[in-house]
Amino acid sequence: MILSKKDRVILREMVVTDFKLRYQDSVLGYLWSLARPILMFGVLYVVFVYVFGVGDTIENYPTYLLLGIVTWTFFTEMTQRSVSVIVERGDLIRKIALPRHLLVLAVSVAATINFFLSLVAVFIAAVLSGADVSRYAGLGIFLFAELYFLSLGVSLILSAVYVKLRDVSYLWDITVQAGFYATPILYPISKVPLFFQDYILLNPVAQIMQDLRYLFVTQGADTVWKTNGIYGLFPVALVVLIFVTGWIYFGRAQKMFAERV
Amino acid sequence: MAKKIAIEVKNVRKTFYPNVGSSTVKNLLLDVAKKKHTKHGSEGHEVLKGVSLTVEDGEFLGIVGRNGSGKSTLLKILASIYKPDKGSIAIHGSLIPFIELGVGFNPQLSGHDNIYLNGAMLGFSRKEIDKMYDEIVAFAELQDSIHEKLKNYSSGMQVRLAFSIAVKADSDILLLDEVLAVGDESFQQKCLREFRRFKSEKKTIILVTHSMDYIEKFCDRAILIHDGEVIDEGKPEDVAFHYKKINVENTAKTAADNEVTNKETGNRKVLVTDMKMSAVDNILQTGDKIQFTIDYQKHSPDVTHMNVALGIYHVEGPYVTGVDTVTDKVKTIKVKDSGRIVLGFDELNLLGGEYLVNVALFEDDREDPLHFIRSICQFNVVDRDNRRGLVYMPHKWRINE
Repeated sequence: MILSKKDRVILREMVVTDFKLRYQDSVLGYLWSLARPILMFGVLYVVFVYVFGVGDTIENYPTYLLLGIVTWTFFTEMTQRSVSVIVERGDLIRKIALPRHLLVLAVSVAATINFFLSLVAVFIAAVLSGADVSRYAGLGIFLFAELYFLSLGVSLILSAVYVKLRDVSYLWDITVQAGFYATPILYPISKVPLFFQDYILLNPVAQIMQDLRYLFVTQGADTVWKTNGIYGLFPVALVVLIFVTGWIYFGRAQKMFAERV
Repeated sequence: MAKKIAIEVKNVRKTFYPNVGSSTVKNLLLDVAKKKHTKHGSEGHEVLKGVSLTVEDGEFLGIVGRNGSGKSTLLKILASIYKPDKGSIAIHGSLIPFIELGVGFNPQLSGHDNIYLNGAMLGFSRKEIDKMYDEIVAFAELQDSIHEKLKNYSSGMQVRLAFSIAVKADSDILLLDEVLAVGDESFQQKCLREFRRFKSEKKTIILVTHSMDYIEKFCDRAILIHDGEVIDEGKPEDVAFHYKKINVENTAKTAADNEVTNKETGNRKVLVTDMKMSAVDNILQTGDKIQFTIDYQKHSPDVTHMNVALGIYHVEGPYVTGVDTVTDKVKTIKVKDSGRIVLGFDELNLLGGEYLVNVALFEDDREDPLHFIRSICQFNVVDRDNRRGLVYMPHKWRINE
């Protein structure tokens, strides 16, 4: 994705503005965005370790859980905030001919910054409760890239469709809710009914999450490569497809944005 | 040598479809159920019907037209905010694709932050803004409140800030839509100075405005858009006059629609049968010659002499002038079975506005009229010099040096 210097300046200002607006007039400021995943982590940890006793079956469960939450949060934050971004910034769309995808990119950059800052929390958990970092950990960057392009592709599609069809926002909220449980964030794959075990990891977010856990937390993490072998390429192919579709669809739809928003 | 062309628009068409906005699944299903879900959902409204124009490098072009004529759509197409359905646009030179001041302004941020934000939209990096920051703030006269949130600014302050950033925009071509309608007198003067500067720097400027004053003052050329077509093009004064005429015709039409009944009184022994004005389409210019022709018919043999009166009122009420044959010491008019009386004004000293005419016939010096018709006709005056008030009073200035 090549942006002109001018577009980079605009993108930067958008991101800066976004952070300023989110944390202005709040004392703790940025810490709040850390608070959410950490609080969620706390609740889920207590429930799943002490109530369901899941923790014993997975090595380094606190880090495992937190990394899963942070990954999931990145995907949902970016996609959910993107849905309405084109319509919300109708003022810009109607008044200036800036590249429309900058609006979605700005959301993606903000989500990325949040993601890496949240990794601080994961790091602390790793120090406190342990993590088994693989010597192939460097591959993590490719996994993040996969996650980023997946989220961007989905965001582009959602934001463009939302201009025409507002139901998309509700639909996506429900999908995200369901996705939270359909993705093995909290539980080990072994607890899932056998029939679903073959399919659960074909979900790209699950594939990425499990691969990240394998690289950074425990090699006991079930990955799509272990369960599905060569079919592990399916989620990767899906990500490419979603991104390309999103990019092309958004590119076509954006011509009419100014008239529709 | 032919001048360089900055903008070339060829046969641009644009149609809007009113129902292509947001919809819900419910509407979509309803449309399908009613089988009216065509490609665009509904009948379109053609806003631009094949517009062509060329703008030369360094030219200051004014675009005028009534609301809804398509001029803003044209500007948005030039700024490539809208894509034309048909036709082509070629732009030679850098163009900042914004058409309004303060694009991206965020009320929750301080004036300071907004300068950087808006500046980025105009293509300035942080460093570049740093360099001109003080100038911008000084020009906007906002030194004291630059760190306050924009939402606490008055609308005038916001516009000042926006304009101060916009004038820094360094592009060959500028597109401006109704920017001058704001700010107090002294700030407007400053804006005008900037306009002159742009002009002297030979920037290509396209200005969309309702102010004929600005059109005549700044533009080298103007075009008039009406119903999505360019219907006039040429000298700013001529186009501005044409525009005023169109405007007047329209208000006259609506006024005529409203005026269903003329109020008539009198004993009707003599009737006014017709009244004509010499003006074409009832539109005149200040200083024009005007002539009213009144036809009458006698219905009662006992009337022998009469007095004819004509009054001119401004449409908003004021009685501008009234003339009658007795006061003017015209020899008494003998009433024939039917006849014609002509009243002429050599020089109409009325200024721009809409006027109504009352006509009355009186028997000799009696108070009750034979026939009195209120608002028998209506005319509009256009003053090319845009002078203020109702009447032009010939005058001279003497200045002691």
